[in-house]
Amino acid sequence: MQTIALLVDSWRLLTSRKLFWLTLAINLFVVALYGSIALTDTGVSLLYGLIPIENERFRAGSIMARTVLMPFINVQIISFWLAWAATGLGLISTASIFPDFLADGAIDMVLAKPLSRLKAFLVKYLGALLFVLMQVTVFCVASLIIGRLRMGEWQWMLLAAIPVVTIFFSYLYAISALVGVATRSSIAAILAAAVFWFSVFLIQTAEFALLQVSTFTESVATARAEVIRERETELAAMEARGLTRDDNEFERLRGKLGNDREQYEKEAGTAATSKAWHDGLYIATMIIPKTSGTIGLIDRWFAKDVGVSSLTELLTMEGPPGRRGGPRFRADEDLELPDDLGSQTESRSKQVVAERSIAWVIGTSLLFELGVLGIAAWIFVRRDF
Amino acid sequence: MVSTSELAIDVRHASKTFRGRVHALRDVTLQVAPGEIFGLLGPNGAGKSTLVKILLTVIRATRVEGTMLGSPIGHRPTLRRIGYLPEHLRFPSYLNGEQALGYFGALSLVGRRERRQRAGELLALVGMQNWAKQKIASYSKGMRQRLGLAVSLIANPALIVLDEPTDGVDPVGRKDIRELLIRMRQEGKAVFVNSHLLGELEMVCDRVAIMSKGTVIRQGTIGELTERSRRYEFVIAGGAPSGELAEMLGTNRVRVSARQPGSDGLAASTMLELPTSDPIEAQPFLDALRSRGVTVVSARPVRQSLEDLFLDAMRESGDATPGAVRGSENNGKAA
Repeated sequence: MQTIALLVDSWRLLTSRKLFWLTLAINLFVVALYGSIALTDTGVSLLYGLIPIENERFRAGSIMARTVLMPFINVQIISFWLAWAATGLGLISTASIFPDFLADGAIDMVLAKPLSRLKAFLVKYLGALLFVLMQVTVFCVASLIIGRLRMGEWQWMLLAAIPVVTIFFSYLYAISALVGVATRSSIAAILAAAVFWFSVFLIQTAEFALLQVSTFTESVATARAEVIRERETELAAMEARGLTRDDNEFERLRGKLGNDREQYEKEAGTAATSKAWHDGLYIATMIIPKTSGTIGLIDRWFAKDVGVSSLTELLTMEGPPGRRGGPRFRADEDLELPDDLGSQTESRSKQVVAERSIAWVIGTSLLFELGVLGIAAWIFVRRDF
Repeated sequence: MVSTSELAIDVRHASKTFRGRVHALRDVTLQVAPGEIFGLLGPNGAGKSTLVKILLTVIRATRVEGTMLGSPIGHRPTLRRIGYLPEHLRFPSYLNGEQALGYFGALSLVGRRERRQRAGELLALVGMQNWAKQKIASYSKGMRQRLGLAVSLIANPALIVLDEPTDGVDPVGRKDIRELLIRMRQEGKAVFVNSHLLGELEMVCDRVAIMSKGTVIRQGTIGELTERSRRYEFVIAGGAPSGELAEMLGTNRVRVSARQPGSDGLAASTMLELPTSDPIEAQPFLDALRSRGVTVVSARPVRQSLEDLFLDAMRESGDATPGAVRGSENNGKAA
């Protein structure tokens, strides 16, 4: 009875705000934009036919349209709209829940009831998550229906965004709740959540960048080690053939070997350093919530349906190898590196990230959230109001 | 006397020290019986609200012993039987009156059907039935207080704790609240009122406690606390007595004070204060005045008002913040 009363109260609080309805309206507007994309007999049309794009690969009924384009659009909408804009609006809308709840004269009325403080805290927290759950559900269900009407396919995977985005939001809202309870200030809660979100994003981006650098430099060092082995074999063969130090070719090769060994030392050192930095950041990312990883689950699931590691990768598989992004490296003329080492590195790095299990991504993030909530609950339970 | 197990509130040795070594309460002990209206007085910062919040688990005591409604203080399920109106009450402005009663009723574990039934009754009781569906944001402060009172009664409590219940309420509303408190008392409920309005308390309280600097400095019925101040006041025509009359007044320990001409329609008069509350003892004195040809304009038994009592207590305790209270209009109170 108390739980329902608190949840209903949270619902009334949220729906009493203009921002709630504004967010809902924007969500529906984005769904309408989504619905403006349609597959035609000749390709794709945007803005309800205003912009026709002819492309045989993506015309209505094509395998590419069904298995790549539509999942790709869904993932982009979820990643950019739900995971950024809608989450930001959600954080702003819900930031005042705890400060208002704890206001003088308001909290007294609740705490003087036969209700445990921990229960009051947790149910209020859940109430805030209801906001996002409701908004995301409306968005995803509307998109599902629009997608069926406009593109002729049920994209059931869209529904997976409902729990994923809600969990994603909950990581950030835990920080908002902690600061809201500690300071009773909505502004402080919003700022703290925003700064935390940005910091987590930076750490994850840096971790992925270092993973790429580490993978790349390791590949270069491995290639260099291979070259050194080849040169040593060649020099040994020359010596076996009786060529001496006076021979120009022998001396040239010896000189190159020396340079290669020197280069190898540097490259192996760079690889070790970047790996050490990456490992350090990786430990940091183990502690913090995996915001990118959590939203990335949607991409992984859609891609798994198609049988690739990433939908983005599949869509950009055009043009010559080596021109698909990833770190660039100017090798010397004797070091033969694959032309597409950059994109290979990116793919391998993404593979490493993709191999991190769902349990690891969600589990460690929820552990963090649990820790933050534990501190917030402790403050709430112990505090004199 | 009610046994301790039957007391509505039996709090002993309540102490609270906030961070920074601020001693808000020091060893407070008091009892409130069922069917009694108990008033807690004190200037700002005396610790009244801290004591109330400790009783209702809003603040954790540094030390407290005792019971409320027979259960240890802090026993959460017992809070179901306690109604509370906090100071500076703040309702969620997005609710209407009926929703507020429903929400707080549910938190007090009142069943849905009972909540609905009681909500209507209580809104009528506090004169808010026509505002049941209006958002609280549109309520005046007095209306919010009335609603707060209704909310404090939603679970049909055995003990009602009211912190400044008449704050922001107009005179008509105050009268309504006084009548409501008396009705609660008649129903056998204990009412614990914390207020600055001494005149209001004096009209309804059976017993009071005066707090200063975190301690209870006086406690008892208003009669007990003002017993020493009980006296008869005689107003006689003319100026200060002299001669044999003055001698007789001295023998009877009568305090004499001249009154300003025109204060009660007479050219000049004198106030005589006889230190007794017994009307039989006053008769010989009255006879003595009349036998000496003195014109007795008026005679009435009086006692110290609660405000006088409070100010005396504050002076004795060295807590000089008289601006913190608003008292009755008259200094002397007709007994």
